[in-house]
Amino acid sequence: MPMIKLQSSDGEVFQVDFEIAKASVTIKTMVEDLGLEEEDEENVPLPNVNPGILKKVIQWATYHKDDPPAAEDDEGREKRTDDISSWDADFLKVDQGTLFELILAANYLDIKGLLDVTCKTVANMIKGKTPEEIRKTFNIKNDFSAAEEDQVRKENEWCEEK
Amino acid sequence: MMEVFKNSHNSFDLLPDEMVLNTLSLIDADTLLNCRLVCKRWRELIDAYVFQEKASRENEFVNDGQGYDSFSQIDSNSVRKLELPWYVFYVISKYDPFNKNLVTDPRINSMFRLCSKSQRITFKNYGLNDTVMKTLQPEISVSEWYEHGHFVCGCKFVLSTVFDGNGEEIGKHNFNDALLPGNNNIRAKASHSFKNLGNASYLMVYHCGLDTRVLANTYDTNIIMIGSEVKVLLPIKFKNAAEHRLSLLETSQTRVFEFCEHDLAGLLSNTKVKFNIGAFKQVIQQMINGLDYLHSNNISHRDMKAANVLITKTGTLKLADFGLARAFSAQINGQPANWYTNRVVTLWYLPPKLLLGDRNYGPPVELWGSGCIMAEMWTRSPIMQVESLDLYNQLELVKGQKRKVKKRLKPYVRDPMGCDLLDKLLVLDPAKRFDADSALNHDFFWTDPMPCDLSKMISQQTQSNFEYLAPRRLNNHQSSAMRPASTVPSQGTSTSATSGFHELVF
Repeated sequence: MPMIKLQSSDGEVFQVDFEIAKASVTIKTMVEDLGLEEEDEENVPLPNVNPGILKKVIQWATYHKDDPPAAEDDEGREKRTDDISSWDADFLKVDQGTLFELILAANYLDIKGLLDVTCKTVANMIKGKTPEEIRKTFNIKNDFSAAEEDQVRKENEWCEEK
Repeated sequence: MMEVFKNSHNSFDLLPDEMVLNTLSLIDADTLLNCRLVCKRWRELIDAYVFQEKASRENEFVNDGQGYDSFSQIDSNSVRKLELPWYVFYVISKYDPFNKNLVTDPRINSMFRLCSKSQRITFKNYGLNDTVMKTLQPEISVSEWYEHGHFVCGCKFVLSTVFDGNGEEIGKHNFNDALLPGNNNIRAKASHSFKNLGNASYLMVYHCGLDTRVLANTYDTNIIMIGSEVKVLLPIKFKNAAEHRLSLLETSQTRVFEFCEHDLAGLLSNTKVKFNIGAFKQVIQQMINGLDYLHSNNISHRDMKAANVLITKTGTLKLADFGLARAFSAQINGQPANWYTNRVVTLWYLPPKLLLGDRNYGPPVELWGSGCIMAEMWTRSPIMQVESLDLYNQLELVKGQKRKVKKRLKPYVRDPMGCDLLDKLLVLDPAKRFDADSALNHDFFWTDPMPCDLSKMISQQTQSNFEYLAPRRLNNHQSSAMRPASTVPSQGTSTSATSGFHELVF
């Protein structure tokens, strides 16, 4: 089976089945554009992905290698967030830093399925929480002044009533 | 990179706007309102893209007899089935013409007392200036609600008229017909939307009819007007933000997908390529011209660097890699409107204000970048190289230093006019920095030697000069700095538009 060598930010090289690595549109295009032959000695450099995260990404892609290709975006439809498979849910039981790095990596590597499931996981962490709880969960600083906050609350009322 | 997260770090700071939105778009409407209160960045993002999905369709539900009396009663499953689009939205005004400031007509007896009131709503006062209106072609909706109503035919009359800046009437609607007589309207609602009125400047709403309080006493009908409002819906489809951006670009001179033979970084690192001063001027002029075009179309490029300046074999210059480009807008309600992530633009071409974390930026960022590129044409290597921000964060910035731009660049830039233009572009304060237009009017481009055609010089190059093909450039500022290898795949291929995030993570 053709293998491809992915090089993470610190230079560590991972050998991956090309069929699996193809889940990443970025890698797929890179390989095609750089004209890398199968069995090539050349490493594919991924300077934005650290080895820990790359390992996770490969693990995810390996598990999902037989998934049917993602359906075209349902235009404008409100997406569900309760359809995360139990394997994915287990896979994403990681600390927040890792989760966000996975989002970045999925975005950089252009892996739609992984991006979806990571964003959904974060969305689920937000759902049903009060602003204060959200800030606490993600360590976000409240940069509104009291007056500004009142203003936003007032604006919110417009949508809540009627 | 992991250690960063252990302490009090906001994980969302790490994500570019697009990713934050991607996440927020998955959240139900009620929590979304809470999210608006979390921090300014979230509020901006939500307001800019996600907020109005629901309210925009409210009219249809309430009026088409589906039995919904308010949107909040519709559960999320029905919302899903209805495939609502995502809209941006503004509530402009809520007014109650029948409850105060009544103007009565003495000719009518008390039982059929007529009252009237007109109200003028000027869009500009709500941050919707002419540019916003023209670019976004918002939908203006006027609505009114009544409670426990049993309407008597003809008892109510509302006329809304939209005018343009010259006071010409460009749209008109009469609500009279929206309220049918005799209907048992429990929480009736009448509304009308004006569409495609990009030149709308203000709205007049004229009410006239019988005082509902009088009617209520006389006929025991309890018609109470509970409110009316004007909404302005800006129809940017959330999902299509990317496509929208691309189609905008496709109509411009700057095509993303065209194959260009060289990039400026590659040309500069090839020592065999000799530029004369005329060619320099031509390159810089074309570059700033391109920026000017983008800025006048309210697009901000956000990733200026030599490697993104492509040159075709006929000598035409093209700006590339719009992966980070964004539409920008003027201030809204005195709030900075362009609350973008500060993680854009290759570090070396970033103005200092951004490096220090400023998030409200716009076109001046690119002028700084173009200044850097311009200087680079003489020095042949990026003039402000940093490997990472670590060093920068440790720096104690010295205040009150005299500017030394000219003095430092003089040994490289022999053209005094060029030196002067550089001085104007590399200004710390974005407000004082030259904009694209004034840069184009600078004497540099209008003195001998005049900008000359590049095609002859370029056609001598038989091989493509791309940055990633070039040997590492000589580095005369900082021995340890290296080009980040992450720019490799984004040049000159059909993927350059989609792979715009390469530089986002560092």
